Amino acid sequence: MNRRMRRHEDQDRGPKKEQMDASEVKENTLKYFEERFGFPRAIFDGYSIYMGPKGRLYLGPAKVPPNLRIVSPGLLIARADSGIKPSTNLFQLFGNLVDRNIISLSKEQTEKFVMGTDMILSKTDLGDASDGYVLVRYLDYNLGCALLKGTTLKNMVPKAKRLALNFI
Amino acid sequence: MVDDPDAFLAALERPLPKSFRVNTLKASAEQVKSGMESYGFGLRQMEWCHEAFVSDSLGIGATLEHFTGMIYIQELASMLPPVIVKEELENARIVLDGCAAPGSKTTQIAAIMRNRGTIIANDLDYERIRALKFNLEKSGVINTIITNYDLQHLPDQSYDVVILDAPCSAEGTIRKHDHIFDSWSPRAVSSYSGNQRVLILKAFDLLKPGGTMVYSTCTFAPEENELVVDHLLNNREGSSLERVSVEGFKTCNGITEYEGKIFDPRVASCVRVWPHHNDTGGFFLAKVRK
Repeated sequence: MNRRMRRHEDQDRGPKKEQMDASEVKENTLKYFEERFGFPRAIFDGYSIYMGPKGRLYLGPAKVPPNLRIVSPGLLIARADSGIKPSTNLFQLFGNLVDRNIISLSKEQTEKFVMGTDMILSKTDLGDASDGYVLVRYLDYNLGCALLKGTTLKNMVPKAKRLALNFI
Repeated sequence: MVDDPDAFLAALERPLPKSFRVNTLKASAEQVKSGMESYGFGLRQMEWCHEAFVSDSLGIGATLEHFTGMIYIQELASMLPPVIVKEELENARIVLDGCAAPGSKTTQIAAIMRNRGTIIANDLDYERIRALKFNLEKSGVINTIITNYDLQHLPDQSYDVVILDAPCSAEGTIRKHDHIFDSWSPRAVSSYSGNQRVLILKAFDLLKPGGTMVYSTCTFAPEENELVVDHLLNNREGSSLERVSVEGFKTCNGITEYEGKIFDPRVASCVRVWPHHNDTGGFFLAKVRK
């Protein structure tokens, strides 16, 4: 096992996908969402989870006409190719339901975060959050996903979503 | 055709107001209003759609509300197609947005359906599908499948509601796109019109009996509007029009005669949206029942 893989194992990034079939990946993802973030499973009820390429998991409508060629189904909720990474769009939609592993930022930190900047936090910023993926918030705004390691917050905001805020 | 040509031309010279729609999948109108007013923005809420606002600030795109997908920046007139079938959408199980990219109407439909049921968001242009996908995900839309068909060849399926916001010569977007007339020609209008007549029949055929279709364009040309609806009425028994009215929003009836051609008198139930009446872009809407 090389250093890089060990580093991954040290953090709570969820189970690896090794030799898991689609239903196992889906089940593990929901379990991880529930345990790490407190997402109630009920939010996924009435929808289907679709598996795309590169471990991408989508939450989409339960009923789809069978004769259609699908380009993209619903909302990308996670990538489960090496550990499980929740998507920023999932957190922005259901972030209010997360009750643990939350990092709350100041106004100045928020301006940097939405531009895609990594940052070093103080220990008091960490709250109850442990190493691994975290929900990042400013006041009641669910900003997205980041990877916490020690006091380093690695930004996961997709490039296309990054923004220079003029009003906050 | 226009009631007040001077006011019409003067409106075309003015830039469009900065408008947005609150994405109720993520926030309420009140929540967004109080957040944006705290930045010092002056907001005007539309009587005809409580999620629609006009802002006196150019900065709506650089707010946290925009970053988090709580708002969608959208021209007011383009919000009309879902608004005129709001009740039908609330009760629909399966909806088709036939020419969906970049997704302003699809995201609005998903919000009205509260992310339940199924929307098929189709677009012919694969490049524009990237923007559609980005906007759907940013808005937190779950109940939508994206497809990439020429609508003419979309596999058979019956829909409760079909939205056909057809590709058009876009004359009504001149306030947003100064150069729209660079690519305009009578031939282009005629070519769009031919395609629209094919699409409107296909879209109608995809409706369930009792289903509802919205046919809309952002252009003034009657060849792309009343003439297309007239073509549907003449070619599909069982098609009928419902009068379009939006409370608090001024519209004019569809015209029934153009360049010597007399249309089915029922096309008067369609509406034309003139830029000087509500300070919007130009638009045309028909509400069709099967």
